[in-house]
Amino acid sequence: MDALFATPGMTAVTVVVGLTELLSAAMLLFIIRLFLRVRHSQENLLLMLQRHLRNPALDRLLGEVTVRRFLAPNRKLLWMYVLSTVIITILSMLLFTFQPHLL
Amino acid sequence: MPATGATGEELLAVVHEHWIKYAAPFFVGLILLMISVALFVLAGISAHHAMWLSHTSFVTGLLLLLATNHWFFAMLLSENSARIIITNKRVIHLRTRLFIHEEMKEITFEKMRFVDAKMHGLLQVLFRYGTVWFENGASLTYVPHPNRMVKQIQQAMGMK
Repeated sequence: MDALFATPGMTAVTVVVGLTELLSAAMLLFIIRLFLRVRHSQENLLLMLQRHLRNPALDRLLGEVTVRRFLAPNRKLLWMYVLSTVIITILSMLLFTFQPHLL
Repeated sequence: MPATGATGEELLAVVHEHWIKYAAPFFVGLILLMISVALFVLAGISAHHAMWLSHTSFVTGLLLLLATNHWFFAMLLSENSARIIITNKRVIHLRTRLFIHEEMKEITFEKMRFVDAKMHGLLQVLFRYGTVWFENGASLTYVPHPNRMVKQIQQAMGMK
């Protein structure tokens, strides 16, 4: 770990890498928030449409299941996105931290 | 069985756009991923000989990898939320671009007697997708089995 701050150059690179990871985490949160807002408005729209189109008996039978099914793949994609970002962050941080030993 | 509401409007189908729309971004993402991996390898190779080249390569590779990851998933989440909803009175096209816009295109069948499906080129014929054109000039792209959709819409127009 001391090697990361051994020289001014190395310190600068460490700071840049750290800031990049922080920026990436902020980007992840921003995209998730944006996506959830869009999904919420789309969910409302689909529910409104579903109420408009379906008869009440069928609505009681299906409820919001149909709308959830419409949006289900997105939820899996969202988790994949979070997982890939976390994996990239951990691997790159490990690679950078142990760089003097690995390289 | 189609569902009928109080307005007499029947839901005929909810269709996702064809998966081929992911192909080009996927290959672009793959190329960018390979470039970032190459930069990491360069950082490793040059670590003992040229420290600054190694550091620059590492930071550039990391930036490229993270940017590719965010862009790719933002694109996937946007594209995946697109839906084509067909009723006996209209077609609703829901489309979202996370950073750019949300769009809901509605094409009603009133005063419309013509709808056409077009499949151009080997890819569209091979993977069975194409464009649905409406009389008022509106169109829907990346429609899977467009002829089937046109048949459904034509039947709906006849039902009016």
